[in-house]
Amino acid sequence: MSNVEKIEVDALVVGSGIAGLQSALDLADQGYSVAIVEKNPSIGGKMISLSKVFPTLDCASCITTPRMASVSHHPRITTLTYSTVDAIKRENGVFTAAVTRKPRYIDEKECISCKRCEDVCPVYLPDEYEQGMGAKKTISIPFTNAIPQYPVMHPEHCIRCGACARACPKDCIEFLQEPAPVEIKAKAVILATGYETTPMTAKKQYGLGELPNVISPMAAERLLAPHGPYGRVLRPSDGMVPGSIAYVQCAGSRDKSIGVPYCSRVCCMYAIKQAILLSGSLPIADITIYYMDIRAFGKGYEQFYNNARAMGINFVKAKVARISEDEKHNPILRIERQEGTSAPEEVKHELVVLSQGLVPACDVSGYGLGSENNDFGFVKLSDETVSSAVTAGAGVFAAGTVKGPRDIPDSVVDAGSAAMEAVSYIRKL
Amino acid sequence: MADVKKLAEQLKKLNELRGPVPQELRDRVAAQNKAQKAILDALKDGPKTVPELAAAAGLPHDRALWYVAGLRKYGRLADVPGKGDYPKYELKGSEAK
Amino acid sequence: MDEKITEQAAKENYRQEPKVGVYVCHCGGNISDVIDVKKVAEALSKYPGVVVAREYAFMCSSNGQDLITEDIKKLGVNRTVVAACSPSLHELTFRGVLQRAGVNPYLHEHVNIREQASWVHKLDKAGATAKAIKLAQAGVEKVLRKDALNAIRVAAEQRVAVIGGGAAGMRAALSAAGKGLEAVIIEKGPRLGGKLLELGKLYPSGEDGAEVVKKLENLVLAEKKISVHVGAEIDFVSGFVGNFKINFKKPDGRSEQVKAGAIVMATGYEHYKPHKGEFGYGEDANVLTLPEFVSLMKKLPGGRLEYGGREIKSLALIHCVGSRQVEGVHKPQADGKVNDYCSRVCCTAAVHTANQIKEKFPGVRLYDVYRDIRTYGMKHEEYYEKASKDGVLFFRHTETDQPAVTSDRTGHTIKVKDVLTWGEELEFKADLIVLVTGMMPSDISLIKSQLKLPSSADRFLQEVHLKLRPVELANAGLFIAGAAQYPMDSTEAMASAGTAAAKAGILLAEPDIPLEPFVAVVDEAKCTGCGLCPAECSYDGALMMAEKNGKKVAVVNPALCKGCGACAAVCPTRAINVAGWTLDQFDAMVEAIAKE
Repeated sequence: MSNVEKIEVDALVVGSGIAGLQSALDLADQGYSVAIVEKNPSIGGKMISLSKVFPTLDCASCITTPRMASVSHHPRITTLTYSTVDAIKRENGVFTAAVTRKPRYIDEKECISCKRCEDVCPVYLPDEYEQGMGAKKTISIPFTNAIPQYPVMHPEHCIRCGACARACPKDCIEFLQEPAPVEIKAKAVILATGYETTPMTAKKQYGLGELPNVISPMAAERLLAPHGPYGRVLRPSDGMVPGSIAYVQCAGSRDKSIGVPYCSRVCCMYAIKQAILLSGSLPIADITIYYMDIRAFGKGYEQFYNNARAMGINFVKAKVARISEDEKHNPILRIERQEGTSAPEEVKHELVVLSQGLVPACDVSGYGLGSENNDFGFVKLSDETVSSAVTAGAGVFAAGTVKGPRDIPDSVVDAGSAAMEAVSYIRKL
Repeated sequence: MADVKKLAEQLKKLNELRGPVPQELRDRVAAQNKAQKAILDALKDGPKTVPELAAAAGLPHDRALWYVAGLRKYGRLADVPGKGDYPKYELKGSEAK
Repeated sequence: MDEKITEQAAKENYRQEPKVGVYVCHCGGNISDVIDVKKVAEALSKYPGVVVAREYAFMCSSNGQDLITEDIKKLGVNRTVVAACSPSLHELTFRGVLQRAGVNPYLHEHVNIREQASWVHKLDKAGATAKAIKLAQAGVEKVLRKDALNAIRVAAEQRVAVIGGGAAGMRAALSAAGKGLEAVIIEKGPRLGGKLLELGKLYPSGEDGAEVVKKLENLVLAEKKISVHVGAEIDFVSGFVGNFKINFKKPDGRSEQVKAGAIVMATGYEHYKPHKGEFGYGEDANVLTLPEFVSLMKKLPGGRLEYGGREIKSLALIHCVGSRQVEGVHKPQADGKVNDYCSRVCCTAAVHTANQIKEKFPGVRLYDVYRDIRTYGMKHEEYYEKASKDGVLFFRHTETDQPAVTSDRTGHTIKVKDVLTWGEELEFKADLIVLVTGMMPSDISLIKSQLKLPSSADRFLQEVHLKLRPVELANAGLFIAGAAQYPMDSTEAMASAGTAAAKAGILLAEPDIPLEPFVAVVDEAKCTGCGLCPAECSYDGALMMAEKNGKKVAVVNPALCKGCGACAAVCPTRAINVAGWTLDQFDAMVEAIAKE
């Protein structure tokens, strides 16, 4: 087809979370051209939706937005958001990626991000950016500091009232927009497709996601974020300020029954961090962390853990066998203590966060580029004793959590080395 | 501003391509409008908590909270400062008298 | 970014009448929850010299930046004040905005109303708002007096010096060479490999440390752009970004110098050395550290475990020796501090070793005394599980109830208050005790003092920012690779070293490096040549007295000057100013703040 948009770059980065962004910047700042393909409407990945980050408690936005802005302003980086990588093939050392730009149903060249379409749209939808706790509209800009600031329309929720089109000062609503194919040619590929958290429905004993006040850690992040769904910490069942909050550690890691036998590395630290933030915003709340081993192994982490204990956060060595709820939706935890006393007991809290683990977001072996997965679907390195980024596929490198759980500092560090491997590879072509 | 003719044509084409707007969606939006109106009406008497609004609008508590979050985000109601287990909300902007 | 073009544009811009734009950031709610940002913007919009004042949720976001760009284009704003977070976080972001819009990037003032107002005056909203207004007004006064500065450019050696030839050092050199840079590895030991040479089987590959060294070494030796100096004793490191000089003695006693544009510190770690008597170490031959035991195990045939002429039938591993120490419980190091950090790799190393013992010496009973098992890596949990299955008995204690070891002729008795049996005080006997020791940074005090390198509280090298600049030292041109920064395993060291090379590659992407222009500037007409200032200067060669036009004056070397201002402080005639931070600017700021 002649109307296929064509892009030719040195490296293709799949995914624009912190690892993808950093890999792209580390390549582009050394003079290489990069295309980033992101499936979501905004770059920034999981990190941009976090509240504050351990162990320094910097606000996640403060750290992610400059990276996002640098990428979007970089003369050598082309960013395709709301786009999917459908296939990649490698021929004569050149990768060709078939990418589809999904329709936002607006004319991106004309849109001035004035938000008027969103203001007048009459249909409210659960906002996945707020983990369903807040609302968006059928046409809306994904979130405050999204890049790019284009609204996205969801036609399956459109009642075709035309209000958005009438409100648009640039006449750029395109109800009939079609997906657009893009072809990207690149010399190297960096896989940075990241992670998802283990599903809320993974464990029957923990209520299968049906207990309204048993929430995911990502939902807890949104409750704590400056522009969260309620603007403060409330529990989802009835808008009450919770006075007693519990964390259930390893609720999706170190657990063969759900296929995640490995440690997810970040859950101890994010739980401690959220507990510290909660005790800041709810000074009289009781906060308890039920855990097996606290794994505060990074730089400054042990001290962070010690600070949390000094702040009065309760750390209880116990296994949580089951979670149910009372008639007021207060979660009831059946716990088996590993210290103090051995008899199982039931404890009531007002809000419970399941410290879910990390699983791969995307099966990148499906691209057929020769990269292999480990038993759990993460990308395997070809020889991790000599490189932290080289996969079994020629010219294919991996950055961040696509290789397994890791925290933000480890992902940022990892991204640079993936960029460097790509540089070495491209120079040898 | 929008080209009225172009809009009408687009919407007509859309109806041809996708068929009429599904009844399920129409019902959902009608229920949404009813719930939002009930919440905003209840607030005309003064600030209320989520359980109070749920009772006034005949909604489950969690649904009432979701509507409150949405109306709050789009500037139709606001938090009332103060302490207590259940924060109160009040009308804002054009909704308030 | 093409600085040369914008430098020209900026010069034109500077001649225009000053028009200040003030931008007040909510920082999410970090600022606006305390400070009335609308009031700050309103107050500033009326301040002399200000043409526009705005507030926005995240000034650093793309939208926020666009607001400034628009004002530059439409209102002719040619100087900016952003009242937001700390300049260390975002000053560069906003300088970039000015630069892209064709305004000299140094005509920007970043005012910190977060750390200096909203965060420290949480309970006094009115006071915090008033303070934010004053600080922003002082910022306006300062920016009105700013000069259009240009980055100082210094030619850079296109070479990276890597100090330390362990796993991290070799990877850093390989990655730098992969980018086309010359790399020089300077290793004090007699051969490449560092600590890897001593390690036994590595998890998860099961390869011996020495085999991994061989693989990396072969790659290094095959790379023409890498040169290697082993047995090199560094005696002097000097210079600045782009122009470092490393002097070292070779094994034959001759001196050599390497010039480099960037230095990667891959100086690694040392095993924690238990003090005499710590769990009987140094007093009893049957108390070893884990590394000592691993090298012993390498030499022994399988079957019966024999040590010191006796069969070892039981062995106890004690975790966290030299890690996660508690003040008042543990004996501090020479600097008076305990090692309160977790050494990250030892738990996995311990259970991995337990697996190997069970395999090689199946008859040995194993005990493992720990606080938390931190087997965080992908396969690490399997080692832990295997150890449990193989009958290793685990005992868990708290930080305050440390285990105790007593020894007599019959062997060692370990006493531990075990939380797994609900706090029961348990005693058991073991023939051999292996202390799972942590990591401490190598002694690099000489280089640290010569280059003035920062360390963190844990004594490892201190990065600028764990997430924004995780492998950079505050000193420009210096990067960290591997365990010199913090305990890590060899794969993690690969990642860190690759990134250190990437940052060096970015720094040396062009033949000359831009440096901040905030250096001392001497007004030769005012300088009386009194000679007071060179004595105050802490940076060798940055400030000297010299003859100029028949007059003795102070002369600054801009490449070496750090802009500390010590010289400006002693000058009796106000002849020295630090560019971007002049005395006139400070006077005006103080006046703005003190004004009723």
